Amino acid sequence: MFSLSGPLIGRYIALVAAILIVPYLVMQPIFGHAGDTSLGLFFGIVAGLLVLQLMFLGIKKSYFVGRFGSHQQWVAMHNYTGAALLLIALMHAGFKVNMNFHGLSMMLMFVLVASGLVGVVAYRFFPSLIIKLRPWFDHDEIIQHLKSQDSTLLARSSKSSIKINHVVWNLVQDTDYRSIKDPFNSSFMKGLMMFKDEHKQMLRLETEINDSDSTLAAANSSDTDEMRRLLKMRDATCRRLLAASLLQYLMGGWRKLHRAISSIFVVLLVVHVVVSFQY
Amino acid sequence: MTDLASSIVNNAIDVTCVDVAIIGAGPAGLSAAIQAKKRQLSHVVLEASPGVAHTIHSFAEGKWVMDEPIKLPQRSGLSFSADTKEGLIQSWQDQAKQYQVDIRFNQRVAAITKAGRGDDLNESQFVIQSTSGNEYYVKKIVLAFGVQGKPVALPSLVDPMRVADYQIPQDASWHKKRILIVGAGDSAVEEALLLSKTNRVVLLNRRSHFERCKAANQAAIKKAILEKKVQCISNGELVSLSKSDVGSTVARFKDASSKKRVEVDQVLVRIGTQSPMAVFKSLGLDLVEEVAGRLLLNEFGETSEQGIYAIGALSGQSLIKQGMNQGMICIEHLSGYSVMPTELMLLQEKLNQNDIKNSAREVMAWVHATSLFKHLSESAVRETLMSAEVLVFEKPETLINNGQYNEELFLVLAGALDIHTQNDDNFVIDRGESFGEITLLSKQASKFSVVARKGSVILKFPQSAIFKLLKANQAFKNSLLKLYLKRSLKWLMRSTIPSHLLDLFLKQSELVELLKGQKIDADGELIYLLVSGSVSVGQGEDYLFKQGGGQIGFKEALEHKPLPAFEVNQDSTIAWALPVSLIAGFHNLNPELVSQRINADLELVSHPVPHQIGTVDPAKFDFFANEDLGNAGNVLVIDREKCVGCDACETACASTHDGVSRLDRKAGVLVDNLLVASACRHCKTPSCLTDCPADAIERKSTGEVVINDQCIGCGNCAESCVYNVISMTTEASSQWLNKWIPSIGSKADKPSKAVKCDLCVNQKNGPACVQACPTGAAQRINPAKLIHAVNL
Repeated sequence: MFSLSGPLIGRYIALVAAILIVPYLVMQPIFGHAGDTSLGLFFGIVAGLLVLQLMFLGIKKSYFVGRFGSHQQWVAMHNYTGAALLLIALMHAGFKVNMNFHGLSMMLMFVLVASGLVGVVAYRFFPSLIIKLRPWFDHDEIIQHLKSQDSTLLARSSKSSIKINHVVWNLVQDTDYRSIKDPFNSSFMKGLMMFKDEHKQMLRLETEINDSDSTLAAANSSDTDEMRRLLKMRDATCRRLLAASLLQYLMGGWRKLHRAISSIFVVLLVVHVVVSFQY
Repeated sequence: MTDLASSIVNNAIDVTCVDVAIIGAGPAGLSAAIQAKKRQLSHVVLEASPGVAHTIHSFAEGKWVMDEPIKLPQRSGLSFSADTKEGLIQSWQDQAKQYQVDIRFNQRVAAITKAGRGDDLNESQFVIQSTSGNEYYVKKIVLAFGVQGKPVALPSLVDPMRVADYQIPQDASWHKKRILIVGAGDSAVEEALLLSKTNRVVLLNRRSHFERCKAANQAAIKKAILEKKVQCISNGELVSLSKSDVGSTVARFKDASSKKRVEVDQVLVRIGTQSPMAVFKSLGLDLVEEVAGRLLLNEFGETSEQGIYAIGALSGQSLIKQGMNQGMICIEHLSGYSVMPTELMLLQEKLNQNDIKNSAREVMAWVHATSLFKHLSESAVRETLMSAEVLVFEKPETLINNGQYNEELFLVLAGALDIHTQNDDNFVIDRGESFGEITLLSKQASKFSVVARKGSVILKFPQSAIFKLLKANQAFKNSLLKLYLKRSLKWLMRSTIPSHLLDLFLKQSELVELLKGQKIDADGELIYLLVSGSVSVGQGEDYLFKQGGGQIGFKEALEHKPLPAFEVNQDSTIAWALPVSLIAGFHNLNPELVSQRINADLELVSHPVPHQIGTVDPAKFDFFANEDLGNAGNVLVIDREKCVGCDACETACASTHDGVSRLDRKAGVLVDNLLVASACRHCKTPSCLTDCPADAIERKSTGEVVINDQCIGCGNCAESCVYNVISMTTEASSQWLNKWIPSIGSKADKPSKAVKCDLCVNQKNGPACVQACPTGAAQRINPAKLIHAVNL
């Protein structure tokens, strides 16, 4: 069982879910499908077992267990099981969501499944997006790239007016390259603030360049064009870094959020079960 | 009164007459002294420094000293168990006192001469004079002063006030200082890197490069200089050192352009140590031909001069236990007692365990007479036999399976080995013959199975022992390579090739060393049998990647087709070159056999994956070649388009390896979107393995290079690894408690050991990093497969 590939796991689970739909369609309780009918109870137990299986992924991740298949297989199982849980839970509730405590658990489950879908999309597309946004491999390469852009900008600006030169100098001097951390480990908010400041400086510089254009001799116009081009590149580099950092941050944030929602859901589920059997 | 006696009386020089003088109060010397005491020999130990074990004394504070290898028995009266440097020195001092060993400190030997007729005090043979003027008249001498040597000092013109230091002080008082280090060897570079962590360091190099350093040190210092952690003055020569008014040291030097000065707080000089060669020459001691500076010794440690023995590091035995055993053995021998050298003792035990009636000496003599080992000295054969395993087969048993890695050499003592190949061509390895050279030298998996016949007795030599011999003895290397050629030819031509034809091939073949980037044009005149290294053969669509064990042009020669062109990917690619005319001649002699060979599988070894790589993007292939991935057995590759940065791979690695991750997901080299992460590559020619003094690193039959429990924590492997994937780690004694209450049990009181990726060889499901990756981004693959993946 544990050597199955992801799609095969999905087909397996879909088959099981499909089989379970049959009794739902065939059997028609007197007062309609609900959680307190025998069929509803049956589906509830199945859903509970699915939840336990879903929880095992968290345990397997935190405490690496080499047996019972690879992590990738368990993630695939987790994803397909989560989707199947939606169907089973709805069949358990007779496709009704009441405005009570039990309904609250159901709604939280919807949120959790939706969060899972977001995760599937994020895991599928974000890494390649991040790579496209920051094609440099490591921190040193990014810094080197920025530094070389800045030194070219500085060289060009030295041929321009003192004012422009001064603004460029401030821009370059204020760039703390050491604080431009690897997006994999950066604080997104810190990066955002840094970008905001830099962007302001760059806008100011652009204004200076535009103002000076009219007063510059024709011979210097190539310098200002080049500076504009460099500024655009610099701006683009910073935006890309920030975007990559944002995506990475979102992925990390999603993991935390999904875990938090799962924990709350498990608690609500336990209460739901206790309350249901009690009353 | 003799002249000597009167000069003793008049000048009051201290004269001592003893049976044996031991020069050096290290563990080997102390062991000899204790044995001398036990045998009631009068003795004196002369030590140049103020305390015992000077070399160990210079280790870092608190450094753990191991007592590996465990399998080596302790025969010495001086007890030794793993401890910190301080604990060990104290223990030895206590034992020296307990045994009343006569140690004379600060007695650096100035000269050793043979006693003349007039100096006949107690029939002494030698006279030792110390730098303090004392004289020692001795019958026997045991040289145990190690190889660390006295540091070469700066000339007095350069440093008249003796401001320079030659050692980092033990009390770690050099903190936040400006330090000038003079030198460019391993010691200077290592200390520059160490001190640069908390000080500002300037390194003065006489040359422009660091060619005398180990590769890992060269890479590390270049990186440190680029990152401005260490400042380097190249082509600089120190002119003078003086003290300034404010107490700092002023160093004046000149480089290519001008004279300069720099003001520093400390000057550390590391320009080498004095070689003991002068002592050896003065005594007329013979040296081992092949190994520079190594004394020629018999099995008891006696030199070519009767009465002078050399033990410990001087004899080439770098481990403490080995030196201590030698101390015991040499005293037993010189006092006339019968003693068996440790190597032979261990071999005898193995023979006894297997009920083999021959003595260890007989076996040694027999091994020494075989064609492969006859070029070695007796001591080399003895040392090699110490690590050999004796295998006895009461029934036929498979030694090597088809597709297995094998890096051991087998020697048939009795019986025979049957080699079964895939071409149904079987070979027999008879008594006195050796086997295993093809897989040992090519580092590839075997393409045959080896079965030992019933009643066979086989000696199995580990890779490390054979590599030591290959490094030290050119004649042995030549013999092994010739054997490689002979077996390869028999494989290629069938085992039934007439011997006169085989001899002709052997005579006409030439061993060549090809360099990286070298191109051999198509339609050449030579066929190549690759021994080690890698090449890419052909062009365009038919690109093939070949490694050791591969052949180039043999099949084409049989088919009368033009030989292919190829390019060398790796430096030091070794191959046997045969004239194609020989094969053409063979064709005429035996056309039936030739046609059969054309259809046969002519590769001697199993290549890990189909190595046809199709048309290759030159830039990608350059990456492959530049990163020397041809030498890698297995690499960790992370597909960055799938990697979500969750670090599950590192977490899994750490949880399956005592909390220490053996990989760095974020470091490595990049090709396209595939990151070859920083983790052990299980190289075909691992430098870590060849540099390990305790034989703690081995390659498993399935190809993994692993570090076993014999590791003594010397750090050689970590330094020699060019990929920096080996780290030294200490294990907190109460790890579980440390997780809950970090302050308790966090003191690392267990010694550091080397750790690296072992491909989770003990785990059923393979590498944990691959198992733990949620997206399948992390994979462990063979480099040939990598280039195929990159090529898509």
